[in-house]
Amino acid sequence: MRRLLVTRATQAAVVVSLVVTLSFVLVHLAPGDPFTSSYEDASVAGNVREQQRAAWGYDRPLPEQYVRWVGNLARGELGWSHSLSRPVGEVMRGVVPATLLLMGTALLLGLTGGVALGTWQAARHGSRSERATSAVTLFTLSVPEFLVALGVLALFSVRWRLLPVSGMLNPATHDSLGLAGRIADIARHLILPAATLAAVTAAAVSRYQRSTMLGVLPEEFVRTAYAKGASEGAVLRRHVIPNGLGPLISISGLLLPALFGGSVFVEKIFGWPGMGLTMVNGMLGRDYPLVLAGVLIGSVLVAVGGALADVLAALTDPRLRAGA
Amino acid sequence: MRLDFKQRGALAGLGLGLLCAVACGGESARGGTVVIATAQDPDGLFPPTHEGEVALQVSELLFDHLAERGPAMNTLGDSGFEPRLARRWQWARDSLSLTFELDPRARWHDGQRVRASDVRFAWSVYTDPLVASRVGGDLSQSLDSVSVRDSLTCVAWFKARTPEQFNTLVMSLTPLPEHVLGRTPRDSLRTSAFVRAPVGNGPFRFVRWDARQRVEIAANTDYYRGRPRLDRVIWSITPEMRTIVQGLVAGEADFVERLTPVDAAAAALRPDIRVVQRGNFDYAFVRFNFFDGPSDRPHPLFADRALRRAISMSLDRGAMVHNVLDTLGHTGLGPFLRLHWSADTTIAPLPFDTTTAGRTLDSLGWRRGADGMRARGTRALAFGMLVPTSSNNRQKFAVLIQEQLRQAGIKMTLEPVDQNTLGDRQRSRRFDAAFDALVPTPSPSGLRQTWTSTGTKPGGLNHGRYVNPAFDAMVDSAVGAADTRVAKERYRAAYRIAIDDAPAVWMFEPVQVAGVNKRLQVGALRRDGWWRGIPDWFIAPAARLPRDTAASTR
Repeated sequence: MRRLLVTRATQAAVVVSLVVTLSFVLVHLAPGDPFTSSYEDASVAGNVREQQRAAWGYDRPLPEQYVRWVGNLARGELGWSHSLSRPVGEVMRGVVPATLLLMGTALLLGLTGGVALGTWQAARHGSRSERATSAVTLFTLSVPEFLVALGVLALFSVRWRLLPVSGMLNPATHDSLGLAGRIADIARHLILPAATLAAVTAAAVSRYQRSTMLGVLPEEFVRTAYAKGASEGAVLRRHVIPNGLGPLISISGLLLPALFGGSVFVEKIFGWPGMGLTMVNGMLGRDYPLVLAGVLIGSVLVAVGGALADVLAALTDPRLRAGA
Repeated sequence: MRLDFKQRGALAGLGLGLLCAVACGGESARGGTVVIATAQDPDGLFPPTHEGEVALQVSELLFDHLAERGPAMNTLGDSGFEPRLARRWQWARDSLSLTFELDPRARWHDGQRVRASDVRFAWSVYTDPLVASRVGGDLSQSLDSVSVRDSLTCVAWFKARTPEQFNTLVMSLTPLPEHVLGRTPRDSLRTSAFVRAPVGNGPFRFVRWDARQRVEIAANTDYYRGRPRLDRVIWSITPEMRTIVQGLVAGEADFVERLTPVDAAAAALRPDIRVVQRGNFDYAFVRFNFFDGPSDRPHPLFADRALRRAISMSLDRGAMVHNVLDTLGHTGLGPFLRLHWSADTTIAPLPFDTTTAGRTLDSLGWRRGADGMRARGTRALAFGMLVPTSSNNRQKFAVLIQEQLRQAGIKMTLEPVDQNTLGDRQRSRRFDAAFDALVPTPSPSGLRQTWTSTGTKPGGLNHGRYVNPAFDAMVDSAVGAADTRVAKERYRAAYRIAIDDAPAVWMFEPVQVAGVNKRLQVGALRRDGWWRGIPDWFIAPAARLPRDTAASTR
């Protein structure tokens, strides 16, 4: 197990370094700089942009900028966000928890819902209800996430006014609430974006889970359990589900980057102040330090998620442990 | 007439009742929280350095200028300017110095008095190269120094007399609190805490700015010109335009500053939303590059004035504006806006005249081939146009332009690019034509940076390098005219030259409309900045919601 951990950690470090270095080069190769669009204004003196580029070192050769950035990173400094006028670390302290809250909730709901649905479908393989729910999951996977988001927004927020339209909290009343009220306020704002992401995750997971279960159900140990008089629920809980979890754990590691990508649309439509949209806005504004910090944190989270999934898979499957 | 005791008592009671009603009414008219839905965060709240529109909105409610431009938006002399921090001012005989007397009631939000030394300090900050203020160059050019006569009197010393020296000074220079910022090194001002939590002196004080979520300001109850009627103003940051509109429809937002024509039409049908037209300070145009890329060789097509005019005359701009913007746009007039005081809407534009355009192209040797497209020898009449993907309107216009030019036998290829690339390609002159838009200054003198030869220098905005000495001379002459009538005549002559030269096809001026929840009373929105009227906005007590009474914890 220790060897597995070391291998995965080394791989993760290499991947993160490569991703961040490549991102550094790519964002700097894109046309413009942090001062491009803001200074395309008739009222701004022409030399201000050059002054600012020089002041922040963006007029220096790219390798020099990279070395300086890595040096700052080693000291724990993520730089200054030009578009939000604050240290990048401060921005990240705001958006990373918001992203983790959204993704964590979506992942939890998506995995539990997907496992439950997939198992239920496998147990009713060939029935009309199984075919109907399979069609629904296929449809959910086929519809782009932003359309799902716009649909639920139009229904739950605009037509029925049950849930808030956007944001993570009510900007006018949140601070006047007590602790329980604040938590409830955030929870109300979380429901629609998390449910949108979770629906797509659950649909994907349920299809994996269904096919895995269908592979486990004909196994001899399942038949033996039934022969011993165990109920269907007990057989599923004790024998089928644990034996079908391996592939699901591996998929969970892959779900993390997928959720990161998908959450950008959901964050945008629901105005959720998360990391995905912050990075997209940062990229549009060529806010280099913000983008690079986002890439760094995102790739670390994805690498850790992947490694964690591998370790969990190894823990649940002795064959993988032996292979590692 | 003599009144008996009962009559006198009744009269006194009536008077008292009226007094109470007025007092109570005045009190109840105060209060309320306005939520403004907006797509972006401010890029800072430090007046010398912020650039974005949301930053301007917030900071102009936190900081007062010495004087404020009036609704007529005059920029010549001091006519129409209204006192703010300066309750009066006096010109020297030679107009080379201007003495401001500050309002003794003015206070910073931390309770300190606004002093003349704050004006001097602000001048030194704005003009310090280490700060790199966006308007520092303008101020340095115009102003020599600011001196302090006493705690409430300062004198601005100009380098030369110019018609817009007052406008430049009072609208560009925002007094800053020396007692707060005086010890901060100049090169650290841009990154100081003040940038995101400023201490101002305006009708509202800063409460909070949670990046990517909200900006909140609250009424300054000690404001020297009288407390604003609202308690709080909150900018709720929602990046997606569709969601912003849905927030307005759902009643979560009270004000949306910009609606698309489709959304405006839908909102106008709702009983709880009012659609209000507001002024706008931008215009869009197809810019021609006069040179062959970044080289100094003339452009094979656009160096030719007759060809540019023929292209312009091939386009039915009026029909396109109607098609894309319906009633929410005007055909572009020239290198100016209808809102400029110098604007002249009687100048005849190049007409939509495909017959004349065709004849011109024929005479230039651009003949139609078998496929209907024009060529001269082996060279096709074809070019590319940069179109920003960030602008839905311009993308729609671009498709129509492409089709109308095709009918004229001209092949135009669309090159969709993001806003940064559009700016970068234009600055590096790597384009044939670009569908650009400009936000000109309220002063028409901004024309120098955008269309005269001055703007062709590095940092200028005349990316197509259009140069006509007659145009330059007329603009210089207009900028130097102190008399409004004379200045208008000269600007008109300059505009005439630019329209005839067709350095661009003047496409459209959008008419911006805001969506307002009817519970919010906003009056007429100022053309040069809807937010400038916020201190007078109010929400009637009967229309208030729980959020209007929720108190901020800060």
